[in-house]
Amino acid sequence: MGEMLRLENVTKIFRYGFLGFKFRAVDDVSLSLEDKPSIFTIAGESGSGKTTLARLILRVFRPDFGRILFNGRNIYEIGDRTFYRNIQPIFQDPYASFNPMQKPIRYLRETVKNIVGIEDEREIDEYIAKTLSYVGFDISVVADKHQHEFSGGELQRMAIARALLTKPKLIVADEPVSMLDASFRINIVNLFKKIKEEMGVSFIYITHDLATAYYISDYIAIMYRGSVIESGRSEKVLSEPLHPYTKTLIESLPIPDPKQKKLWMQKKMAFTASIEEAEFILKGCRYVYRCPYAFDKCKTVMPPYITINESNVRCWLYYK
Amino acid sequence: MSIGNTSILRAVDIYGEYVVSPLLSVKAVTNVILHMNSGEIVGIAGESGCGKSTLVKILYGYIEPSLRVRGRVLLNIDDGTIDLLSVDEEYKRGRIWWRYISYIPQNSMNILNPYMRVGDHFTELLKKHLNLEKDEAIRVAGEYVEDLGLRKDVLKAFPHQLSGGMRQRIVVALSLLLKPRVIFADEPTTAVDVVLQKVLLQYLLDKQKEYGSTLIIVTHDMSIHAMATERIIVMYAGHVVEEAPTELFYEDPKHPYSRALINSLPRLGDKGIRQGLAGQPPSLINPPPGCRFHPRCPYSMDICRREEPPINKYENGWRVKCWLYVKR
Repeated sequence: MGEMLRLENVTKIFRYGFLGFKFRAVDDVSLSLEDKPSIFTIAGESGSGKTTLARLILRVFRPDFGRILFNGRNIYEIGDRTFYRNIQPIFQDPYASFNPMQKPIRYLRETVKNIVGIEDEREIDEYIAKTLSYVGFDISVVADKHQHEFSGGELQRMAIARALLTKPKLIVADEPVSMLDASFRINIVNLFKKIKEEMGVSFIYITHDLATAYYISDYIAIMYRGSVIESGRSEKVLSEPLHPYTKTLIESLPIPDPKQKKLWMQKKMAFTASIEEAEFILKGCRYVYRCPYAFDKCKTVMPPYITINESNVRCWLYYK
Repeated sequence: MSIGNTSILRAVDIYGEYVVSPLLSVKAVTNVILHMNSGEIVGIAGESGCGKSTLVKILYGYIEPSLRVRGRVLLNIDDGTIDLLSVDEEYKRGRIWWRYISYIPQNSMNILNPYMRVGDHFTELLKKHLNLEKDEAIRVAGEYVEDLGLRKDVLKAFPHQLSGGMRQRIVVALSLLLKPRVIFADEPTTAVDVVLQKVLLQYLLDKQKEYGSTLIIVTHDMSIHAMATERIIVMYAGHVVEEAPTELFYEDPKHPYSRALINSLPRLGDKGIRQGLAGQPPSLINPPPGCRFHPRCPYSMDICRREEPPINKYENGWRVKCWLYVKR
């Protein structure tokens, strides 16, 4: 089967100040997404580089090393219109996605005009109405509403409708539900699932919430300080984690079930006061300061990708 | 330390509204009756805009202009009972806050004074409340910080030199410095990483146990309530709609809103379909008549649209505000 999206050793370097030190926000990431509808989660804590990775895929940043291929072509060789027709973003803050001075519908109309290429205004509205009804809106109701008249969940649905207008192959959703309440959150996540199954759209779902990641995604990649430390099928990775960091993450996740309380409380976490900047410029594994299993080699050499029962893990513990 | 079922804080008929103009106000908290026992851990749950933060501010007695309050908040202290909403502001500042009740506000990583070194936050508190000399205060603060697993030089740092997680930990430590009887924590672990969240929560729970204080955790995160609290209070649109022992609550929540809330939570290791709620919470400027949840409620009846349900006893310590549980 072909690959829809392929990242080859993608690296992005940021710099603190004019002459300040450089660090790799995304370091040597290789991933691939097969050419069938699926949801690929990129999970990680704040500062793990997951948003930078999303922006690299969306062509907001240019990778310093490595390349990103979409259907076998480098994304920088694809024309703008083709690119945006195929890859669409959804952002974290629904209120910031739409201009507060204009009605949200205008943004949808512009998308149709500029990217889909329909000129006639009546046709545009007919086109939009179809997509809006898919996400559960009636165009006659939302067309005259301003941004502040929508709730956060509704605006996020508008943003999804906008992304769907171009009939994309891939939607990159950067923390799309983290600003919403639990009862809305699940509606949006269910909508993603429905879109994947019915319209055949793939998602790159960026999140720090492992519970929703498990709920919707087919594949998952866990990031830590710029590198992907574990990836594979999401059930596998989240139920049988290999990397010490993934294990810690899952152990510290609170569970909405008081029966698990005792077990959760027993596993104590130690407070580590290591410096984030120092972790970014490490030569070896970035997790070495916090890792209970760390040995000398971890500090100096970055572990390679190791495949163990279908998961890829970057940890010297599994090196033979 | 004795942990009995002695009541420490009681809230009677609390109303809180934000005055926008003489004719317009947002009724953030309506008709709340609560009691807290000493030594228990209570969770206040609800989604954004349900009034949980306002309620905690009122319980703490921190009333800023534009918030108008009615009712009484009775706190038991050594020599009798005081009403936090009517006592003198200076008295509250000098004698009550920090010592008897303390408050960890939302976004607590950003509340340290950027012009003050971290250590000065500690010494100021110690000097004011325990009348310590400066040298003595510095020594006490140093020991306290080392006990937290931080190095002593943290005290010399300015807040911006520390990471968000460290600052959050320091704010939590500050609020526990004088061993308060009641601790209010408003979203104490939101906006920090999962691992740090667990560290902070465990620290808070350890100290709560050590001091025998009452801990009130306010958060929208139902998983934290499940892991930390003994009793849970669910709010919706300014009302307390359910109050229950946490363990029983998660097995079988009674109020339709609580049920929807629990059913919308995805869990690791469970791919079963979850459903959210349709619609959105009502405007609190003109709340709907009757039960405030009726427009979204799948069980709504005629009476729900007309009359507000009373908050009724269901079982021991379990109260529900819903017509479904009223025997007529």
